[in-house]
Amino acid sequence: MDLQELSKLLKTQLAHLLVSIPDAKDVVLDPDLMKPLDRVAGITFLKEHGVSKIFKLEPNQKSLPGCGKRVYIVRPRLVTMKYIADHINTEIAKGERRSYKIVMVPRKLHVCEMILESEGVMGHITIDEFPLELFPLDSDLLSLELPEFFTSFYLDNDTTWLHTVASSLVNLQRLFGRAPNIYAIGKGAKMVHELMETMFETHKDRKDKTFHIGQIFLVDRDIDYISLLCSPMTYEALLDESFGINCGMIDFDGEVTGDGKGTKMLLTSQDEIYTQIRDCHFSQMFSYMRDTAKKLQELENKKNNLQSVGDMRKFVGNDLRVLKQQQKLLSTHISASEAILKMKGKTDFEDFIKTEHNLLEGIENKENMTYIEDCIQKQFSPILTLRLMCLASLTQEGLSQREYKALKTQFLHSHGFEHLVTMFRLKKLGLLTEQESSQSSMRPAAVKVPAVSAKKSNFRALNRKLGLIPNAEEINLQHPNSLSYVFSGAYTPVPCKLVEQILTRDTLIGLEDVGRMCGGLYADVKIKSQVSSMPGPSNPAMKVILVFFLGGCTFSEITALRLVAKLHGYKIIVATTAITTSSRFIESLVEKVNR
Amino acid sequence: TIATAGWRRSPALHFIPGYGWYRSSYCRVRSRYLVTGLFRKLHLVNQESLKMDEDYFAVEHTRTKKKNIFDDDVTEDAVRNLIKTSIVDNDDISFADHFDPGPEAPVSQRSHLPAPDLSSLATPASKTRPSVGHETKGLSSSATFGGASRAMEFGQFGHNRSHSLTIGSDLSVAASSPRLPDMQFSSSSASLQSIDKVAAATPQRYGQFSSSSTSLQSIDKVDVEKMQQEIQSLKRSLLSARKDRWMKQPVEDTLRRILKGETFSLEMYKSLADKLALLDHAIRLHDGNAIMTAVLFLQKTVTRHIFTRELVQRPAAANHYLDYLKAHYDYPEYINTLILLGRTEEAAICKFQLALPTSDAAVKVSKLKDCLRSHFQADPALCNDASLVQEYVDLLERQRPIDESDAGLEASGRSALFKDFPRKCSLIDMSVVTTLYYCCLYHYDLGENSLASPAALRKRHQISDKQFTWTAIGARAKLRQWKDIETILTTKGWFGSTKLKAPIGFDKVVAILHRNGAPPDILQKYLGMIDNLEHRLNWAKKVSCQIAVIDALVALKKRAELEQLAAKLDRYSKEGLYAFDVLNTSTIKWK
Repeated sequence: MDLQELSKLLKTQLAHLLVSIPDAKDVVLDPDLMKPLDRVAGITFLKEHGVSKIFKLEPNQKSLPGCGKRVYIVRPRLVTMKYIADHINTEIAKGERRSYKIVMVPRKLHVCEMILESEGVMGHITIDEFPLELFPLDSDLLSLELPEFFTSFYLDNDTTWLHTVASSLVNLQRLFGRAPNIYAIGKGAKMVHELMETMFETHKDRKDKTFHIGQIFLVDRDIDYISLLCSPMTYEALLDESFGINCGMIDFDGEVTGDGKGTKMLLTSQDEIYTQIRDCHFSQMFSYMRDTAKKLQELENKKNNLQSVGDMRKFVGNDLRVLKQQQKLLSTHISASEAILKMKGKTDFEDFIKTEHNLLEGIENKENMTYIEDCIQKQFSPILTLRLMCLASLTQEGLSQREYKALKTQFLHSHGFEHLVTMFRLKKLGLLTEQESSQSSMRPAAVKVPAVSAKKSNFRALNRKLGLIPNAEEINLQHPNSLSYVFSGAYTPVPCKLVEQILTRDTLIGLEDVGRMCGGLYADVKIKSQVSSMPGPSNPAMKVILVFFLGGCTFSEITALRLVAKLHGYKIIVATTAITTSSRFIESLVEKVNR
Repeated sequence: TIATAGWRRSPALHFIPGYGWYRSSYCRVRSRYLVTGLFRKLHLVNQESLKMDEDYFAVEHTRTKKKNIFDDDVTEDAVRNLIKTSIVDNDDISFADHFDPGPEAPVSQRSHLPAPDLSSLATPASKTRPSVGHETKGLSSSATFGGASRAMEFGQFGHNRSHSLTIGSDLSVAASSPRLPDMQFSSSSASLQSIDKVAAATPQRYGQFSSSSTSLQSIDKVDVEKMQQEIQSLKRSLLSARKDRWMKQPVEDTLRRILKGETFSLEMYKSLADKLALLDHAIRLHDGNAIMTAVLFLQKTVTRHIFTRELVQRPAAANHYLDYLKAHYDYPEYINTLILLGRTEEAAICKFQLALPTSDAAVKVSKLKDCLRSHFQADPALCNDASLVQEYVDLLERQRPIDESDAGLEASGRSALFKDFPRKCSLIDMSVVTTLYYCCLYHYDLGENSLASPAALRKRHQISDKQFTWTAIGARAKLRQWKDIETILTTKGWFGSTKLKAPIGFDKVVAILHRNGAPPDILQKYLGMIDNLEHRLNWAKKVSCQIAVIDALVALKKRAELEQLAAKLDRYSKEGLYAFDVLNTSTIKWK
């Protein structure tokens, strides 16, 4: 099973879309789709299929130049439709004649068509869809690159994107066979499962019952916000936090590379060195890199021992190129790690991490609160401060009313009153809440926000049930044996822990309480995989697992799942609506005002 | 003309890969080129898609000057001729069967899709019958008509004009259209060149089919009657099918169409029960697009009163409606709906959010006041937030005159303070703490009854001692007013005595001072205030204040370390002398 099949399929579909318009045409791209399209097809691919100019769709454009045929490739958003309609109306008023096609990715929405109709451009356009759903970022990683899923579904309770998730899974299974076992953890996961079943109902089952993915886990983001808020400790997660990995691409600036011009790098399993170190705990990185450097040195020493001309040719032909390439990669990774260390040094990292770990362990509460207050008062980074505040609220299952009021007021004083909106959002999601008191329960029931989320944190009970915080002595960072190593042993991501539990237990019995706390645990199991005591040939595809994160996941969680795969002999593919970090996550909830 | 084919293909792109879509697009493709009765049955099955085809071909018809078999002037003979030519297309499509390597096993489909069976027209009727029965097995709705031979129907085409099927379209259209499912399914990346291959392969088959179809005349009289019977029943069902287009479809079917992105019509859902059934069913599907469609349909077709009544009972629908209003920037309605739903806090927050981007401070203040009056103060549960908004209003009202007068003062160039430390930006809309810093920087000495006085600001916003200390020390240190810092930290003790006390801890005071380049003697003074000796030593080292390091070492009684340090220091520098002085003092008890 090769995930690149998906890429090929998307490429073919895109090619078809483009050649369906004869002659040269211009393409106007939604900024959100630039990176994904670049990853799937690339600009040369567009050019090869008759695209003459590529524009970026921006809010202030009144109209665009270009040839007589134009294709908009955009996300289906109302405001985008308005921009396009404005373009068309302005250009028609100017007397320019053009054919327009609007390609909505991944599908068209009724409201979008409605806007186009009401703006009066329906007669001038054709509408099409390009089902850019899941696409591979690596050999074990698929993404929808739809970061807005989180706010849309969990904050606004909008189920529009559930369809995309379900449809992407249906299409994936049409390609790789229908997975017999499906587990849904959380409310949204259950909805996706139901929607998926509805979609499967409408067409006959394939005769061919073979499948390449044995089990699918659908996991809701809101079952575990804590793992989103913990500081990353493994290399890949740190890279994402420090520099931002966008669709597998990372941009190092000149300072990192040292030559002043910076470099772009594709981070996938094709980079051997990277594959070795991506999942390493940061404290182990340097020993790994030292070993690699040594190996490269040995290889280089070989050139001094070359005996014959033949040897020399062989060396120059094969080893030298590899050597040079590896040396370059290694040096980039080393300087990137140094840059990360430097960045950490600038912030008050040690105290920060100490507070974070104390909060998780539930100790030294007074000191933790003082530290958070200090952060607020010295106007330390609002994002990092909010991270600690949310962590405090989640681990204590709500702040006391006095603490909540004090922290909120001080934060608003320090960073501006507009954060009243931020605080509301955090409260609605259940990230930063105050404990219920008799006074607030007197409010009429109707006032309660009816929501998917707005749920109470269950950290303590979950921790008790699943053992999320192991003993510090048991943690081996060099040869990790516990998933919690991704956070230096301070915490285990619940989704990863649950996947591990279900896989190794092969039953949901005993997980009922946990399921209830996560908003529901549903299983649709057609093939019971062999209990380990029963030998015999089982379908190897049952060992292939797909874990789908609704609302995004972090590289820490991906790394933890890689460890699950390694420890228990599975192949785990991670699919997600987007890859996020704690900072990006908080930032998406922070109110920004253009002053 | 591959390109034009592509444009025409576009409606079919709604059909996301799937068996259902696959089949219907199949039928549509065939229906364009095949003129067999069976295909009309297929049409009855796929009634809706037929409708699409009609619209679709209406356009095509005007463009391509093809003969239409349903034209009145087409005689039976002409029809026969046309059939002959049509077989080319038929073949073309059956080739597409091979061409299509989709997972739906095209071979099995061909057994009940009659395309290749056109050749059997040439065989005697007795043989035809069983084969027809076999063919129609797969088509549930048409199975009843299965007994009759189809050949007769060709003669009847003149009556049935409903399907304006063009035949003999150019090959490339035919060849590329069936490729659509291929595009969706095949894992191989079929390149466009394969279209040419299809086109090239077609003529080879032409001969085979046309020769077999010429023997169309050899059809029995018996069959003709049976065929006529079938035609009657087909006509009837076609008629009813056409009526169905204007009949109410089950909501499940309509929603399935919405789910798949096909065209649909809601206008037949006239009764409120139907509208609500549509909405409830959409909610059960969990597809936002379907819910939104149903909600907006309801909103457009019933009175506001009914709409809100029903919306309030369906939180999922309400949420989608709200998201729509927000995306549509229809905030008045958004806020009204929130209030109707009893979500007053959200309504207040939204109103507040709307006031935020206002750049003119006076306008902003009035907007905030309005929001405060109509939302925050209206709900007792929001009293905490109300007082925060009130603070915001007061802050803005304070900032305005300060900013105005300071901007004037700065521009006039008369103030040395503003010359030495020019303002980075306007004070308007800075946070409370930033405003405090500003006031401590430029207006530190003002009395409490002045607007710009730090003390007044502190009082209004109930700024804690800690916060005030942080900010004031930072500002005064920036101006190198070390004396002020001492004043800030001085508290009155019992009986008029004074002592230094730092609510934030003296380590942080030292950090701020160090950051602002305080001289060693100042640093030394506050380093000495750090209670924890180890801590004091660390900080002294951190800010490299040697005298303080020496003092800390003395306090810790670490002679060995002090000796090491002394050895490193310049013997005759101030620190060196001090170190040796200390080392030589006999009154200190070392460890």
